[in-house]
Amino acid sequence: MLKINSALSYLRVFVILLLLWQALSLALKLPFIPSPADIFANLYGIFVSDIAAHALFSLWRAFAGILLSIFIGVPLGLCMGFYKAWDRLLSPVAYFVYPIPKIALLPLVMLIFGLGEASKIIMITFIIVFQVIVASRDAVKSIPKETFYSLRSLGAGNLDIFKKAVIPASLPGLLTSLRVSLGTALSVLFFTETFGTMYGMGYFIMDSWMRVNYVDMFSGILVLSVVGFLLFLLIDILERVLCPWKSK
Amino acid sequence: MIELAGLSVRYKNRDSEVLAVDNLNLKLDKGDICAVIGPSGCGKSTLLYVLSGIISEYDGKALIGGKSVNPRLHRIGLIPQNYGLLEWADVYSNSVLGLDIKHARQKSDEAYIEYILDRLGLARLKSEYPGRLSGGQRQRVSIARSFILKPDVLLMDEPFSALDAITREEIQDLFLDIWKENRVSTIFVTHSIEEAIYIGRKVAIMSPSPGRILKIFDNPLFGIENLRLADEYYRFSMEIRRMVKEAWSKC
Repeated sequence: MLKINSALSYLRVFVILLLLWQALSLALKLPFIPSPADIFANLYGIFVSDIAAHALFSLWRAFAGILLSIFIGVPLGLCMGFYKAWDRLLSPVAYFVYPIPKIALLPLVMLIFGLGEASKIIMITFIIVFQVIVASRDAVKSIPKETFYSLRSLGAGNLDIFKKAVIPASLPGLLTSLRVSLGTALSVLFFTETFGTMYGMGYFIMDSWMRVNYVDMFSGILVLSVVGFLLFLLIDILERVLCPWKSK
Repeated sequence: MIELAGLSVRYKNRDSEVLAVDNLNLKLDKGDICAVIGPSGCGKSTLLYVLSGIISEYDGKALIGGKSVNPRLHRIGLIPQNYGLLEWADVYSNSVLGLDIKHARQKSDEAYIEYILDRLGLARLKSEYPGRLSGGQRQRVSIARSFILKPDVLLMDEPFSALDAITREEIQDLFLDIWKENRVSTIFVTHSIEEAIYIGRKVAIMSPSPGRILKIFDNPLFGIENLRLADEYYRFSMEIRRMVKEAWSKC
């Protein structure tokens, strides 16, 4: 019942936004604000033949960047939270690099990794990984010391402590950090896809804009938004599956 | 069974050393239960952390069953002040945590696990997470975890201090009932003189920091039915209170 209510509330907001958009389009009558009806009609025609491939490319790059961030960021963050020496050594590095606007490094990343897939995935990783590191580290630090005492007194070694406490405790923070950084990651993905590729939602949207095809452009924006929404939804589902103590 | 001889523990700060426990001696027979009373910061918790293997740097001897404390070798049930539950594990998983860590859980243990959970009123809460439990229920889970392990020693660090008066009395009774069935050697640290007299067969009084055992005596009221209703309970509590004040004033 709760799930149906939640789906209905999402649907309600979506319909309201479409109605507002339709009203704005009718009121302004500007060529670069087409009506949602035109966009849906356009999507029906070109989604399978054209946009789907671009969307899949963007999804793959986003997934690859997120997974790479997790593989790098989670072990580092967990070790920084658990071992003081790691924290002393790596926290200053993380704090120093974290505030740098990563997008400014795009030219350098492209010079090093080329114009292909690698530079796009590395840019996404670069943006997400610091949030993942900090969230994982803080999650471990927030575990009450009594939890470790109980485990140690039961004869747990470091491996047991990681399995029983450190990893599960870090999961909610990790998922929150992914949720927070996802929006920025998609913006950067869009930007990187405007260089050195002919596939991806960024390329499709900018190409449509340059062709002065605003209906295609808005179709691309809508699909990119749906990709972002689906990734958000995926994180919610993961949280329900991996962190049942949070939702129960 | 438990022997602390000449135990001294120092905590190292950046530029100084703090002596938390000084030349402490305590002996406890197998199946005995000793309540330790002491003022805040006197090293009561330190004493338990030495016996549970959390603190391994100390002078003197800390033995369980004649061997140096080793959590991998000994079965140690520690109930810390905030119960030490894993928030991400359900009641059942928290309860069998000790057996799981020791890779000692077998099918034949299942009946005993069910018995303890049932005895502590947790049978219907097995799949609940600690975040959904009351303070009293969380405390029961930590007690279940310790007894399911069938520990060599049970160490309790002010386990009932966060509970309201009625729940505290209920859990004290429940704990004593289960303790009597298992007779685990237990050290029970508390601030409360009444609680020490109610729970402890022996009562030890610690000095203010650095902690030492000032006095240890057999509790003549231990195990008396409906002790809380007895006048002697309050008279004896007052007597111990006077004794504690006198002992601390000399330190």
